[in-house]
Amino acid sequence: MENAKIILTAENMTKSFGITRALKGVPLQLKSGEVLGLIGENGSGKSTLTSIIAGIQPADAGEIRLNGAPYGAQSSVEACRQGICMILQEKATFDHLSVAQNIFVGDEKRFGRFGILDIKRMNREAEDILKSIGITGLEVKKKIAECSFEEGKLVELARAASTDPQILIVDETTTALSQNGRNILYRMMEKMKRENKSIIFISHDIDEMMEKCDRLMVLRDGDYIDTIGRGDFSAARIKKLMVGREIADNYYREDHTCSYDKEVVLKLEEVSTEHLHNINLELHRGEILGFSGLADSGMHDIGKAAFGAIRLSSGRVCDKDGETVKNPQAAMHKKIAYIGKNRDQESLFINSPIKDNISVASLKKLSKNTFIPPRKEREFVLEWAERLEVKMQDIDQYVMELSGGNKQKVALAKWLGFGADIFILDCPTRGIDIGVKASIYRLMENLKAQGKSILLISEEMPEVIGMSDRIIVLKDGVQSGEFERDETLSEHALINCMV
Amino acid sequence: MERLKKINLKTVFPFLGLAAVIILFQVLTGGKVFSIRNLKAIMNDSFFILIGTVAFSFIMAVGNLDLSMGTVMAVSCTCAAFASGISPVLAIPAAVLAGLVLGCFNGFVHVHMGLGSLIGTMATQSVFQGILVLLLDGGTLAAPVSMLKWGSNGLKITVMILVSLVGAYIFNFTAYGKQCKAVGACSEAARLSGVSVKKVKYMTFIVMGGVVGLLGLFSLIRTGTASAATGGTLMMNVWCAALLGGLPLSGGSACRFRSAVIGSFTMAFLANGMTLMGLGTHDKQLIQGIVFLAAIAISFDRKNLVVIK
Repeated sequence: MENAKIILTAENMTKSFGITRALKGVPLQLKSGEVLGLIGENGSGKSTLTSIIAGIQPADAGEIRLNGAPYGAQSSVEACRQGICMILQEKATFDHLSVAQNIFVGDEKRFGRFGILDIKRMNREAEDILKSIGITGLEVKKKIAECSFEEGKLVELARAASTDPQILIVDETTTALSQNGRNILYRMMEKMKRENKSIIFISHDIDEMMEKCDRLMVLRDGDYIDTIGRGDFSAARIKKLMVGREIADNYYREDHTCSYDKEVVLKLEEVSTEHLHNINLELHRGEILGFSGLADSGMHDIGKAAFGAIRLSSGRVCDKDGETVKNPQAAMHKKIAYIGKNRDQESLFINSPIKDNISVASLKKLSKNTFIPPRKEREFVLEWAERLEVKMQDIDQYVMELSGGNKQKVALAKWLGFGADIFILDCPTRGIDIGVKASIYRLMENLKAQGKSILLISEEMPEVIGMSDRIIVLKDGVQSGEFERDETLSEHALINCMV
Repeated sequence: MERLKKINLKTVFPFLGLAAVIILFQVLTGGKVFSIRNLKAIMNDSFFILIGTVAFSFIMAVGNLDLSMGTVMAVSCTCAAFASGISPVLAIPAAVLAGLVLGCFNGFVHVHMGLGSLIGTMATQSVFQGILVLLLDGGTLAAPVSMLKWGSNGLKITVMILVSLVGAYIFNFTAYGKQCKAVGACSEAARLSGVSVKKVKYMTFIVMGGVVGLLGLFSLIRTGTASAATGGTLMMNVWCAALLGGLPLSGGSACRFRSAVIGSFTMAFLANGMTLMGLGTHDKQLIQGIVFLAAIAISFDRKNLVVIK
């Protein structure tokens, strides 16, 4: 291992997007048979670096050598042919093609016979590949559109496996996977290691990184910071390198008591949707109510249902006066705010300025006899953007240009400015770096202290355990467990209810 | 820096276009463009284009399109002509009401039937054309001669200014205008921010119908008749004006109200200049087609390609 051959080297990788310098001369060395972890806050350049290696975008400057020879793939297909394959954070499957067709996309010629596709053989080989990496129960003829997000990601894994890559890049994929899906990925990584192949692994989960990686390379603001060998791993050290300063180890709530008022502010009565069955719950004043479950447990529907954003097949959502919340406008009338899981599609207008994003929920409040004074709007937006410390040039900057954490701050500023009393937060810290995460947790505590209520839906169990007064666990759309805030509450207890 | 540059270029381009058209024809015609008589002609040309484009800019802000406006205008004009047979004053509510009803139907097709605006209004365009042919029974309808006197330049200028001011106010300074742009930017995010997306979309079509109905009335006043050819050039002119003015097909926050105004005058000067040059209808159509193509080619955002809903 110590003297393993170096198969990929990158020198002085540089890349800018407009004025943003995403990479400032970063080096990288990858040995054969190792898992190299890339770690850093949002916008530190991890994805940029790996996507250049995977041929998805060109570098402005810098040199890459693969097995000692100059390497410069112009596209991901070319990179794949040279043995470098990347699994992206985003969805990269085709909805209207089957699982098998997705696995062999771009490689259909293999199954050609006199210009006709031998679909039977394709399906058979797809089944073999799925089986070989341990995916069971996924029908190869099923269209991706009918698959869950996780299944789509597994198909991408299978696609990568089918090309038998020399180097596999896994960019923040595990957040989309359940424990079972993760195990499949880990097994695949271990198998590749045994075959002396290499993996570049990116994840926000430091524990996961420490467990799975042989070396960790830390990036910060597009700069190379340090590389640590497995023997020197420690969470505190890694966090310090990432952020550039000491970070308190525990950034969740410090108190361990379940506390809230008796007053019920939001109620779900026998609510059923496509993914939920007969859900009853009560959210109290000053309570943080957490939801935990697997990706397909239906917990994301809870948030949408409570905000009146999806049709209920039965039951109803009502506020403290017993009035029904029929739609998002009615919900906002009751001072309910909603931040969705898919930030760029549900919470924000990414092609619009920060100003439009923050003011949109408060237009009624800002207008006087239909007139919205531009100055008043700007002052309002600036006030809330500054209160949340959004890192921006000015409020006319496009949201697209902000990092994930700052985007989420814009979404939060919208609802704080609106003056909500009940916050429904679906995966509020998804893909967000430690610094902003901590500030979101502080904000949640402040809101609780002010007597506001929060419905926290999250795929990260430590977050749910660390922040909630009560936790409801969902399984297959049904409530499978309820826990009160307690020092001794472990992830294990939650997992037992989930699976 | 790059962002600033990009915005600046997109901002000045429509102004440059307008200036270029004016200078070009001023030179080619030896200074006839700014004669009093010609300015009146330009005013007449821009009247229909500007008012149509003002209403259309809301539909574009939402990220929608309307292919039916020409026939809506013709049907409104015909209804006005029928009503004027009873009493000339009745022509006014008849035209506007007809436009509102047809606009409402467009909204119904898009919002409730869930059809994309492009395909939906293409279908309604055909339906309205059918209604028009039925109403006219293959001929034309004349309005009482007394109505022709209504069409003073003073009235037209007043209506033009009024519509532009009201349009600008709603577009830039009211919740509704901002909601239109929000829906265009991302309708799901707008919905989850409390914007009643359906209502907003409905409203844009209803307003478009009402405004085009008004244009139908003015068409009747101007020409004295309603025929199958009424409103035939409206859609092309309005679309061209919107694109030349710089309204993006994708809608959203990049939509500026001034685009509607600048684009309309560019189109009016262009049409007028060609007439001054003595070009026939067919030549004009060819040139206008080329201008339309050029405007789309320049303004079409290929990177953020969005299918028109």
